[in-house]
This record gives sequence, C-alpha cells and structure tokens, in this order.
Amino acid sequence: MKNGSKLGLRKVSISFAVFTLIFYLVLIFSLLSFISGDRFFDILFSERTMFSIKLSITAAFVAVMLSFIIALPAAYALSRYEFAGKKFIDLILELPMIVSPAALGAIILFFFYNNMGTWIQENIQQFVFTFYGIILAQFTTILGITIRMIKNGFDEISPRYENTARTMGANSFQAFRSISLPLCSKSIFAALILSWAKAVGEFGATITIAGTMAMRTETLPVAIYMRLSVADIDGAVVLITILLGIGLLVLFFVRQVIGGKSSA
Amino acid sequence: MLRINNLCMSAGNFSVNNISLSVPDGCCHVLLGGTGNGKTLILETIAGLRPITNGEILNDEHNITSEAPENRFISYVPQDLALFPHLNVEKNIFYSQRFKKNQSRTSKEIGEIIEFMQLESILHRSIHNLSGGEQQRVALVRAFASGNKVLLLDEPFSALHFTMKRTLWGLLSDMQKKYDLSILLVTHDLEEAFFLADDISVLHQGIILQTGTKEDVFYHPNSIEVTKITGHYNYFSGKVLDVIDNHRLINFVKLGNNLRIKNNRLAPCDQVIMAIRTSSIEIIPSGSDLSNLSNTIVCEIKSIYETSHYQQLVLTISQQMDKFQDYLVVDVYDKRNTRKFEVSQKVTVSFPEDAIFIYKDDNCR
Repeated sequence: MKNGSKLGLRKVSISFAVFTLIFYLVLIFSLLSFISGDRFFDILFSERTMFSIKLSITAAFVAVMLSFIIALPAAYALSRYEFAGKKFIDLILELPMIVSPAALGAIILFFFYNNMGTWIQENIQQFVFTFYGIILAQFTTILGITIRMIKNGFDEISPRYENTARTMGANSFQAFRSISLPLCSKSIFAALILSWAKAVGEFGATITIAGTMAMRTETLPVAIYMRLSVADIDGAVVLITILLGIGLLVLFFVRQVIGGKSSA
Repeated sequence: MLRINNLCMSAGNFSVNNISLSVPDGCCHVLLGGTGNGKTLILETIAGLRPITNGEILNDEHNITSEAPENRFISYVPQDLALFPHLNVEKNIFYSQRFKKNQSRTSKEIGEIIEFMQLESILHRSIHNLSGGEQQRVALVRAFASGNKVLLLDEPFSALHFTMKRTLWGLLSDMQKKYDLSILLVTHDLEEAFFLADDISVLHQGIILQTGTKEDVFYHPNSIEVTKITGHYNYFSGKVLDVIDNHRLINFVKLGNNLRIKNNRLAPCDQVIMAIRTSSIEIIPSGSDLSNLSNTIVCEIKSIYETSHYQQLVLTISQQMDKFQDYLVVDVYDKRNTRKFEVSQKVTVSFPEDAIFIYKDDNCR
C-alpha cells in the first residue's frame, strides 16, 4: 500500500513536469508554424533587424559591465561583512524582481524630470530617448540580480580560505584576488551571462525611458512590440526566434559552466 | 617566542577572559579543553582574525596586538585545514612565496621539509585527491613554508585514524625541534596533548584553570574541573574527621570507609571532594597480606568491559553490612591478560595515597 502511494505520487508529479515541457513546446512550435523560409532570412538580414540585434547586444554588454563593476565589491561586502544598513541593502536587491519593469522605467523617467535629473541631462548626459537611456534601463533592471547571484557565489566559499591566506602573508586585497575571486569565478561568469540575457530581453523599462524610435532605440524586444503594433507578424516572429535562440544558448552555456563548478 | 598577556575577547554571548600564556622558541604549548570552551576563538584572535577587547600579544617581544594578520608572522592551520581547492599541492605549499615577506623560507628549505614530510610524489596532485593524512601534512608544510616561526594548530589531527595520528605526531614533533618552531596547539585529545606538549593550559568556559608543564597538569591537577578535563576519575564527597600530624582522616559516606590522606591544609569538619584516576586504583590480588596496606575497601564486580589495551571494571562498593552504595570504576592495564575477573567476584581495592587528589568543597557549608 505504501509502495502504491509512493508510485502514485511519482506518476502525478512527473506528469506535471511533463505538462510544463509540453506547454512551452506547444508555444514554441506554434511560433515556428508562422515562419516562412524566404521571408525569414530576408527579415533576419535586413538592416533594421541587424541594427536591433547589434543595439541589444551592445547595450546589454555595457549594462552588464557597469553592473559588474558595482556588483562585485557590493556582493563581497554583503557576503563577508556586517555593517549598518546591510539588511536594507539586501532587501532593496529584490526591487527589480518585485516592481514591474515599466514601473521601474517610470521611476527613472520621473527622476529625470526633477531638478537633479534635469541638471544631469543638461550638463552630463542626455538619457531620455537615447542609447544611454537603454543602458540605464537595463542596468537598473539587472544590478540587483547580478549582486544577488555573485553574493550567492561568495557565500559558498568559506572565509577560512582567505583568513588562512592572510596568515601566510597576503593582505586583504591579495587574499581576495588569489583565493575568493578564482574560487568564485564560475559563479561570477554565470551571473554575468544570465544578467546579460536578462538585459537583452528587457522591455518595460527600456520602452518607458528610451521610447520606440526605429533605428535609434529599437532593441529586440522593442522591435517586436513595434512590429506587432503594425501587424508585421513575419517580422515579429523572426525577432522572437532570435530572442529565443539567444536565451536557450545562454542557458546551455550557463549549465555547462555551473556543471563544472569546483567544490569550494 | 609567543607571549599572550591578559587577553580578553568575545564572540556573541561567549567571552574569553584574561588569557595569559607563553610559548618559548622550540616549544609546544597545548590548549586543552572540551568543545565550546573558546579554544578556537583564542587561536583566531592571536592570528588577528578577531578583535580583542583587552590584553596584548607579543611575537618575539614585538607587540603585534593591532597588526593585520599578514604582519603578525604567525601561521594558522584551522581545524578544516583550509587547503585552497583551486590550487594543487605544490601551489598550496608555495602560496606564501607570492608575497615577499622578510621571514619567507627559501625554496631549498621548503624542498627539505617537503622531503621530510614525504610529499614529493604528490606535489602535482589536486587537493581533492588526497587522503586525510596527506592533507594534514600539506597543511603543516604550507604553514611552515610561510617562514613564520609561530604555528597555531587547531585540532589538526582530529579527523584522522589513530595510527595515522601517531605518525603525524612524531613528524610534527621532529619538525618542531628541527626548525625551532613555537607551536600553540588546541586539542581535546589527552594522548595527543601529552605526546606533543611541553606545557599545557587547561581551558574551561573561557578561562584558563591551570597552566604548567604537562606533568604538573596531568599529575597535579589544581581543581576538580581540571581533573574532569585531564582524565577519567572517580569522585567521592567526604568530611574531615581528624588531623593526625600531616595526614587527615576523612570519611567518605559512599565508600563506606575512612581514608587516611596526606594533607596539611584541611581542618576538621571541612567538606571535601576526592578525585582518583580510574587507572590509579589498585586491585589487590586475593591472598595478599593487607596489613601493610592502608585505604583499602572491599567491592564486588558488577560488570566488566574490555578494550584493546585495558579492562574496565565497574565495582559496587559494599560496606560491612553489604549495603551496596555506589559505583567505582577501575581500569586495569594488564598487557599479558594474566588477571581474570568475573562478574559478582569480591575484590579488595586500594587507593594509593599519592594518587588521591583532595579539594575543598566550597559548595558545602
């Protein structure tokens, strides 16, 4: 009887897992059914599509690099030290996950209409409706997640390694560089790739700050929205396929990296 | 030489108070105590990994209390060894050579110690592919390679098989003498402490109860707490009945007998606790002449437990009226196993005067 109930649970739970797979496969195949061979490559290699791909990849790369510069030390501090406000910072990292990207974009937009924001726009850099606005939108969306993922990597590494290194003559920076950084490198790499993929797919904040200007602020998700709004189904399908391909490639790559993670 | 003066520190609700000890060049000082008594906390503080609240730490008479760990010239081997998992054995050992410090060992010296510890054949192996004993040896050599003459070792052999422990004790001891190292070692293993120590400090609840040579601490424990940490003892409460020259006649109700014990501090009516090692009590062979023996009682064997090198007898203590009152544990080391004991057998036991430790029981009025 006991075995029977275990078997029952096994079957039920596996069928739900299989349902999840089927659900997404049906959606993907229904997308593929819209692809027509000749038009697909015409649209794919068109100047406008190539611009969107380049713009998305470049903006996401810059956003990820900027977030990395801040995330690495911030994640280390959150993982290793106790300090005033730590819990609040830890909480705020979840902000991009709980606030809608459109709302996040709107918050940034409102910022640029207050005195400080206006001064920045006029004297340092124009962000609204520009390439820099796209970077800022993506940066805002991924920073918290990047910090969280890198922090998790540092959390897995015992501080004893660095402590021992310090008793052998390494100062705190040398111990970090020679011990924690290499031990955490795979987690950092995985965090950056996933953040990059999230930045490439970012839509809500980007459209709110940078708008929908063809060949100017037309990232891949914005381009999909623009094509759908004029009922260009073929164009939208090509762009969605590209995004899907990037996402799956990234996931595969990250799994490869994480799969060979050293046991620190 | 490492010297600690009145060191105080705390971690959460636990604090360590007024720790003072010294480890001369070429000596091994053992911090002995149970788990949760602050041994690791002390080592981490000396290594500079925790802040202190009071006191000072001197290495070769230089005050290093406020120095960063890398400027203290003290190597620390934590209990889990902390071998760097992304570096192979050789890179672990030579890690300290990346940082040019005055006291770094030369490659020749490190090569010698690698040979001495028999690590030549595994230098290019990953840390993950080492046995427990190999990992311990790599950790010790790595600590040595840093050139620091003071080593802090936190239960470095606790996870090892007994025979491997014995081998490594010997290697560590030889290494210490050869290179004149000062070692502060933390352990709760009595045999390890006795094997390696020159001096021992007994730690209990963040306070050092006794410091001295290993002979002092093991054979002249200064308190009941020290006896509990340094061996297996029987304990009996008693009351001083009479003073006879420099001896005291003490009644132990649970032994059902009075014992005559050498002591010149106790006064009549003082309440005392007697401690005697389980291995110090003698079982008198039947038929022996008891007239020359003092402090003997008759017991009955309740149970017998055998280990590889001694027999443990649990005895019930009988008075003249055969009222069984309490248990007495006796360890009989009889390598040839010539003495046979049986359950329910009556035996006479003797309490050698020099093996009895008497402490005034301040909890009694």
